[in-house]
Amino acid sequence: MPRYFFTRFCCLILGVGSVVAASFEKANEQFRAADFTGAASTYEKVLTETGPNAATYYNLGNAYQSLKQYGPAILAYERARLLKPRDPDLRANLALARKDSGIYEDSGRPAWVENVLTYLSRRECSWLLVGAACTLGLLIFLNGLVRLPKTWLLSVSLLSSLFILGTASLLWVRRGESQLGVIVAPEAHIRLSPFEKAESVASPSPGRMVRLGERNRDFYYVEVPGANLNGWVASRDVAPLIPTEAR
Amino acid sequence: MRLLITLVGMANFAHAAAVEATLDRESAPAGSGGILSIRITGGSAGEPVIPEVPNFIIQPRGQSRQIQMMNGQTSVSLTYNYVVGSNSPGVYQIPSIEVLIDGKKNHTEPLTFTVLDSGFTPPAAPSPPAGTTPPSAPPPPESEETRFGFLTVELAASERKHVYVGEIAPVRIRAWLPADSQAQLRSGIQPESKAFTLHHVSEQPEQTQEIKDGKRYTVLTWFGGMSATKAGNFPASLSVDATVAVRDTTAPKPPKRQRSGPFADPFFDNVFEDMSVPMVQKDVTMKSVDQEIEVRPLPTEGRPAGFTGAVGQFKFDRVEIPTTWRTGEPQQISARLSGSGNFALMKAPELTPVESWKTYPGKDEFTPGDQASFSGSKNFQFSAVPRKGGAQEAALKFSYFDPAAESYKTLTSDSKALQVSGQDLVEAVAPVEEPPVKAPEKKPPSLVAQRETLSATASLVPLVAQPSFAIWLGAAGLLGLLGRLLSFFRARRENPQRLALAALETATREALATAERCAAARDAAGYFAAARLALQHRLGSRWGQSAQAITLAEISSRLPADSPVTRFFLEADRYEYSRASHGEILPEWRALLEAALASLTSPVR
Repeated sequence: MPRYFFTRFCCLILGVGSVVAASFEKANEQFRAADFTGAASTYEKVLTETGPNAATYYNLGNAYQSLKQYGPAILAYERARLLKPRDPDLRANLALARKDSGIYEDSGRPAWVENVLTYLSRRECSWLLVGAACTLGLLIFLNGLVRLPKTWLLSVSLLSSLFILGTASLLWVRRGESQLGVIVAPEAHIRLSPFEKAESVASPSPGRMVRLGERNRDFYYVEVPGANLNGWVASRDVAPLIPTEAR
Repeated sequence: MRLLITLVGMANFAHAAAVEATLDRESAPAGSGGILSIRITGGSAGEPVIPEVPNFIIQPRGQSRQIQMMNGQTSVSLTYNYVVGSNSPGVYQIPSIEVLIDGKKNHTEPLTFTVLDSGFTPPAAPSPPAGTTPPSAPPPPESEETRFGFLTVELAASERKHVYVGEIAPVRIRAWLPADSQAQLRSGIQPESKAFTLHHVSEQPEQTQEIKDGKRYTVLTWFGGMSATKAGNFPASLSVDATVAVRDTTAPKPPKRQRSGPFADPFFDNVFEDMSVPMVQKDVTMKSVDQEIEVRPLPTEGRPAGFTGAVGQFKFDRVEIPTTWRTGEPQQISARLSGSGNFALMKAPELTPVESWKTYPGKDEFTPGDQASFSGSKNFQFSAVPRKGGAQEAALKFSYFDPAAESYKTLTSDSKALQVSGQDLVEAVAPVEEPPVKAPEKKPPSLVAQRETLSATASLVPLVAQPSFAIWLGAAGLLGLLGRLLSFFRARRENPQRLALAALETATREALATAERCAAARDAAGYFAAARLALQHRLGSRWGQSAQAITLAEISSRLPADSPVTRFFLEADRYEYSRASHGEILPEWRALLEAALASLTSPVR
């Protein structure tokens, strides 16, 4: 029995892979045939089957953008950006979606600072930090075992320390990103209290990024970055940038 | 006759003291009357001193104060109103009225008021001035359209029933407003048809009082020039938007009441009746009567090559061309053309012979000769460069269309002899003009294409937010800690001082072991030699010297005489000098050695 396990496991993996690839291709064909609703549905299915995937999120954003559903489109693009932060096509389509939705995101920082800060995703920063820390730890361990050349030891230690300092600073500056969410409903309301009939203080545009706070039943407490605006939004109208189930 | 008279100068200055007297009409039937207003501006004024006029009534009718703010300046004026009139027809002179302003006496100009016979019929409209066509006849004054006023346009008289494109005609535009009305213009005067344009309309209209068809009007008069822009038959009418308030003559009149005191005279009945009539206000567009005019295009036949569009009658007033030139070097030429016509279309005259000169656009300045800017003069200044050297003659040429003669005319200034030094200019070949590149049409931004292949799957949650992040960092820290421990132990192991100490201890132990062996063998000499060596090792490590270099003399100099070390060394020397080869090791020797070793052990680690 164990001798067939590996063969069966490989067959299962390959089979699932081919099914997912076929679904992705089918969604692309639907998109090309201007069946954007069908394409979006199929892309969602692919994501459920494969897990987060930059290409699928990107295509899903395009499908929603074609349907003029800017909220879900921007959410999909932003999720794709978590995985591929420097994709120029992605940035272009995201900017287009924001423009069409009438959203102007301003972090309040100069553009060049913003470009530097967002050049790497938090995921990449984390890996860089871990890589630099492990390199430094390993180096110290090896130096404990055998005496390493002093110049070499010093330069690598300095480089690793710089990486650790830089990436840790970046992660600290962008620590709030894990709480971000996107308004997905075309007519969402920020209310004074977590009740459907509470007074609406603002109607954010679909695609607007908000900072999610505590959750009270079916409402999220949100703050709109860059604006002195906060309140409660129905959880059906807003989606966390990082899905709750993925956390 | 002007009804409005400014009596004291300096009225243009907002803060200067001034007093003026005005009559709202220059005549009235006997038994009726008019209003005399004395307006005082600037300074603190006293009440006007009204002189007596025989058979003429001047009765106070109240006063009002007006405050105006214009361009940040505030002006305050005080107006005293008087009812004036008489029951006896005749011409009455209202003498100069004295007003005390800031302690200074100011006087108004005398005014004349005519009291007409009760059966008087107002005169017909005044005849238009010579040289103009009669104003377009206003509709009957009592019609609803003209109740709030109307507009007339008087064009320059002409035998022709047509005009040419570009031709300009002076016009007098008159807005007729009921005399007792209040009006505010809401727009500028504008042609009704797009085929005409209005130029140089005077900014401030002249204001007069006139009687037309038995009704008194306040007439505002503007002057301007009207020109046709395209050929065809078009109505040459103008219009202006205004808000006009007039007395509502249809309103029921209040019952007459018996007056007493100075107003007991029946004369005041009509006056007060007029003033008690309510006002009615309306936004109106005053439009002149349509007067269709044929506009003809300028003839193409006989059009001179240098014609640039000037229409009218012109002549050269002055031409200034320098007499000495150098090829390739520009100099200024100036000329002044005067006449009447459309100066806006007038371009600079041409320098001839054309092939000998290259000219550049210059500047021009128009000086109007009348209110309508129909006549005047235009100065031109432009630069020219001679292309050919040698002696030559130059003149300015100007072509225009004369609408009166209905033909083109060309003016040529007197030829001027010039001397041009330098070689003839060789003209660069003019570059072939490339067809204009059509700018690409700006397309609206569209989505960038789909991804065709699946990319690698990854977690949306960054590593920093995952528990493994801490594990990774912990592992890295642990590795580092382990490495530091290893380094510490290796450094400790490889410390030369520690190694030297260990070697010394070993040597000391070996020497003591040798001493013990000698003691067992009753070899006292060997015992002392080994024991002394052990002490020398200890002293050597303590003093940083070689063990063999330490002698009794040095020990005696550095240690007290009663120290066990000194005493042991003395004992060893004593035994050595006794020349005994074998013997029992005395217990006191052993005790002394132990004491010596103990005294050296604690400080030396």
